[in-house]
Amino acid sequence: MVAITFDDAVVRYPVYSAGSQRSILSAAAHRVSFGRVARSAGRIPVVSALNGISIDLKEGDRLALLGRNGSGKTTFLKTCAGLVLPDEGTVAIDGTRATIINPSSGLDLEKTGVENVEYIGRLLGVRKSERKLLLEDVADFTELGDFLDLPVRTYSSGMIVRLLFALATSIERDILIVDEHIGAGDAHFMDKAAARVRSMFSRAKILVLATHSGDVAEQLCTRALWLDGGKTVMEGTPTQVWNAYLDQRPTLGAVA
Amino acid sequence: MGTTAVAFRDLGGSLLRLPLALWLALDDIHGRYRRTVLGPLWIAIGQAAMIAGFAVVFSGLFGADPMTYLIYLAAGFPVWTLISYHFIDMPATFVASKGLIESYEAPWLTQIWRRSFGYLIVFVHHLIPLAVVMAVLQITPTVNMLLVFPALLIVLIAGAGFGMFMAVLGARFRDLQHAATVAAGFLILFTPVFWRAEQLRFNEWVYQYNPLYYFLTLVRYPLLQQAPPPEFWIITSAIAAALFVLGFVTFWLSRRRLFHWL
Repeated sequence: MVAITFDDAVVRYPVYSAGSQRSILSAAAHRVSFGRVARSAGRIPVVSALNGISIDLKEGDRLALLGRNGSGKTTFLKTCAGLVLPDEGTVAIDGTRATIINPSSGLDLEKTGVENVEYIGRLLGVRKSERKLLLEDVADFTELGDFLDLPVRTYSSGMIVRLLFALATSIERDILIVDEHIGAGDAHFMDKAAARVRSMFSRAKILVLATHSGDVAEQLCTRALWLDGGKTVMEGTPTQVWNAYLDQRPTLGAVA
Repeated sequence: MGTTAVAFRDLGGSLLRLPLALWLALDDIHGRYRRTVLGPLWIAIGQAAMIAGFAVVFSGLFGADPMTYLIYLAAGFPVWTLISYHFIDMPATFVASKGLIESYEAPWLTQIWRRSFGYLIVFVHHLIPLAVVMAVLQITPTVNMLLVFPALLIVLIAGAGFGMFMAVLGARFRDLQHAATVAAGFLILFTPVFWRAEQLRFNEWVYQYNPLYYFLTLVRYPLLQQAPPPEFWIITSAIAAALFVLGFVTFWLSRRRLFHWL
């Protein structure tokens, strides 16, 4: 049974910036002096990225995440991916996952497209016999042609997104988690991506997609969640939530 | 799913995928020497040049027989290099693998094994000068040499444990990699790589209380056709087990915050 369940999940995010905040010495000095020395080490700003989110996603659910920058969308995605574990509350994830959060991350830019398919196929445990099919499928979907034999560093950002999206969707995974970068593809690619995601979900899986586009939300998703300051503002169908989102100007994310 | 379940599942998954880690390590070596003509042979060339240079200077300095000293160095220096990689490179593991970790669902600890195997692959290349010296001096390998395999297994376990510890702390404290690199450069002086333990007439504690001495010697003995004494097996096995537990517990307790640190 594929499912993602958030129960009152709270995720806090320490923000490290200055070198002194990362220094082992200043942290140690802070410790031994009971916080009097190197006060900056003890006061790393903490952003409450998710403040008590509860949601149940079941097989066949395609969730659009809406919200302004800094509303907690990406943290929500990272929590769905199991990268971030909640500070309070629980998050249960059942199913294998594919994640497109950071375009080009995970690809080896010096390797060719073909070599990257091999590399990531192996990393995800795709068997040798199936890796050939994987390559054919990726070549077919991305339409990158001869570019697949060139190093990925020569690709445009749109081409990289196509390759990543193909890799993420060609390998049988239960849950697909996508950040808004999917918008970097051209219109032709968007149609293809939508068709592919629909076909993926005919096999009953879960999609979680962060987006700034009402069209994308309505085209690809069945449910929508509007986040602001790490809290749920509204949950409903993509059309309902998008219309409400357009009507209202939300407040900024909370910094604790 | 709590942090404990996530951490143990990660460890179990990484152990099941050790062949994957080995493939990734081999792939890293290929990647590093992409577009070179001699490829990984550069590793052996660098090592040979260094050993030859040291042998000339230090055999004169210590008044030792140049050939005996050359073999001692050709066996010991690669082992030291293997040990020092854990200090220099392991703290960067999770930071450098962030892209893979956030994009693909594979055990995080596979990245540790990948590096451990990578060090061992480089180590094998580093033994080429030793093989050449042995061939020139017509030294026949004995059965004792096979003991290098269990010795390396102990080093692998200790190194992976130490690696988990350093990789977690290295993500949180970015100074650690620099501190560990300095420490490795410093520790070589206290470890009998260029000198012999029995040559030290004072301050024997320098090596006696130095865990690296035991690991270095454990691997060097078989390379010099000798069986390591039993206490070396016991001490290194105990340290390896302790380091592995320490490393995994560090990973386990930090797993919830670890991604924020990357």
